[in-house]
Amino acid sequence: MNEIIESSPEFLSVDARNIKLQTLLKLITSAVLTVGWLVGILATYISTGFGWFFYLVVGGGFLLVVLLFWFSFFWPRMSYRKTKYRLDETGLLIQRGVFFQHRISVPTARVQHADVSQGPLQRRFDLGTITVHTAGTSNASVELDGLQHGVALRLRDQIVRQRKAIDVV
Amino acid sequence: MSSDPDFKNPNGGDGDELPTAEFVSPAEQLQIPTETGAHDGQSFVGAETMGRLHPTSLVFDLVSHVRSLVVPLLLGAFGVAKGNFGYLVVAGMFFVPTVVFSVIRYMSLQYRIQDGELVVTKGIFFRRVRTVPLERIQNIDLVQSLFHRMFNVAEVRVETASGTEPEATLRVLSIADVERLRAIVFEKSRKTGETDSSQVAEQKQFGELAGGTSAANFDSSEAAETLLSIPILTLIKAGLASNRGSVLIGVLAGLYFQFDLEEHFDVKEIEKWIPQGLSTAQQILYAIIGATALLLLLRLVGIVWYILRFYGYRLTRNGNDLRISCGLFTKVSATVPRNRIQFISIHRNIFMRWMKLATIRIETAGGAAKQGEDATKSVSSRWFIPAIPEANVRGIVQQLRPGQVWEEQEFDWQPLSPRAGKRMMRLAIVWSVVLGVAGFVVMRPWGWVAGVVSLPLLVWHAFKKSKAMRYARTSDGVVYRSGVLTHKTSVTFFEKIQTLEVSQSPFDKRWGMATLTVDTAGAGPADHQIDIPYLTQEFAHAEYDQLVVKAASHQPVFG
Repeated sequence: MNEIIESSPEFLSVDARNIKLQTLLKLITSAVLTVGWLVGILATYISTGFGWFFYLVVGGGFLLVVLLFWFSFFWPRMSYRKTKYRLDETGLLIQRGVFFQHRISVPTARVQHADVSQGPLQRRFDLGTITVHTAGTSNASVELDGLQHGVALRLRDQIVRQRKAIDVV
Repeated sequence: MSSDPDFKNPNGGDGDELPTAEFVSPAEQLQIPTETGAHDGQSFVGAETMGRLHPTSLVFDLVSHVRSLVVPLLLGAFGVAKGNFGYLVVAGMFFVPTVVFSVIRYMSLQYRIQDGELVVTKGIFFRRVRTVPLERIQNIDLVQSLFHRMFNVAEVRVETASGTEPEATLRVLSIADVERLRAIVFEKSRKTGETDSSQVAEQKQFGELAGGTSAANFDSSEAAETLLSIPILTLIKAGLASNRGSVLIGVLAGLYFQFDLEEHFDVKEIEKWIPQGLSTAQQILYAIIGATALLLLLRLVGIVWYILRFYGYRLTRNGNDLRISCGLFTKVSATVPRNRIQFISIHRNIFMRWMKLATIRIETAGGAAKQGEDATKSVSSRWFIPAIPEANVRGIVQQLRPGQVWEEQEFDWQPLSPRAGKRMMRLAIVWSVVLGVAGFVVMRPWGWVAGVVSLPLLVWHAFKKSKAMRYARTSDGVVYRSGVLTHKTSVTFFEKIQTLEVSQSPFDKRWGMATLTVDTAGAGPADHQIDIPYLTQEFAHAEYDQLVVKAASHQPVFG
């Protein structure tokens, strides 16, 4: 695994388990919003009874909820497919974005520090997020999540090692 | 007052291990002859404390806190006037602690240079020790109000790249102490800059090209060289060209509403002053005269502001350090090490272009907070050069960035995508339709006129905007130009590029376009970012690929 990171000729994908995690997160959000929708229906019924507004809330809300659940399955898959990273002699390169596509480059010499974080759900899936900080303004920190935790740690170590090598020169 | 041994070791055990040589080294630095008080250097040999605040600090500190005391003071005065001295006790309860704290602040604050760090200690009960590594110090700014000048003291702001506030504020130091501090700090940090010697050599090479603005190029890099001074006539022109007056309108409007002046001044009362029984022609004439007078007044405010702030402006260079000083009553002075300039931005508004003037803003790392209009806070960035004749721009840019040949006409300007103008104009049409519809909804039946009126203006603006946007690569950096009314041209350098990004929205994809973003440290005060939209996607991606390699192969001098 280590070798792959150190000299990756091609862009690498993040860990596929991130699809599951992201889907789970989005499903939780969708479920919460669904509950909100149901409460909204009840509130509408109590305040206005069966009127055109009630049917609008039921119908419109239903469409939105269906869309949300579809999105929860569709988006993480697309996002995973579009997210790639690579560490080469210039620095860390990241590509991402489903509709809005971005290519970001952080030259190694500009890295102020890099850290790896892991949320409670990420821990379940053995995933981590690497954050690379620069002295910049609009892109002062660049995040990449969905890496396997060990890979994220090694990636950080490799960035720090490259950074030190430059400082010595 | 605390005993002296406390100050020897503010960092606890660390201090004990310090070789005594560490204490001597700042003094050694001083023996290198500088323009500033080198003769005083001897007194530091073996000195534990380097300095304290000037005695007048007590007064200035008190005055700066007196604003919070206005209410208790008024209350006290009110009470005394009524013969009730109980109020005086209450006022005293507020007043006495402030005085006591001012005295404590003054008595307890000490600063010194030790082990390559500026150490500021303050407080008696809660001792706070702030250490700032010298090589981190970006600049030492001075503010000298009229009262400060009477006592030959100044407020000192020590700034680093991090954070928004000055790292340490010393209110106030005597000028001799300030010069001593500056000499030591910048002597130290200069030693850590590895490429400085090459930069000095380069500078000598290009110094001759610098043109009329620079005086003779001294052999010794220690001698200060005046790069630019702004005569009062130029300041008047710049004030005329500026929009400072409109800021005044904002301030007045703010006061009007804040203090509920509408209860006292009814706007309708103005009608009383307007002479009655005039013919239409006379009314128009008076209206024109009135409007012209108002405009002139606003411009006059601009001129006064410029003269107050920038009277006696001088930009000097001492080795690698650029120093600015200006101000009629309140004098401001700031030092900017040349190799810490991240970004140079040249702005020319429509009036300035007529008068062949330009302003130059710079960004240093950590300058993000200095966006303010207040020139005492932002003279080292926002108001770096408030006005400069067009002919001198080339020479000054070469001084700011040795080796940068600034021939704006000669750059290899890359246009936007050929369809950018069309896209921007189409967007303008969409906006005027939105404006028209919104206007109609809000104000029936004539609201749609807003959309019709704005249509040609927005389309014209979009057209001019698409023509103005240009990108170019120079030998050691990238240049971006944009702006319709105010032309902004900015340059940054490969080793200052922090991150690069190329992004494409779904709309961009449909038009085959992309946005290229070059991020630098401290972006903000220049009010211009290298964020180039509507490039062809082929060019944006190819340029991104090349810049990634360029940025990686140019190492920053300072981290």
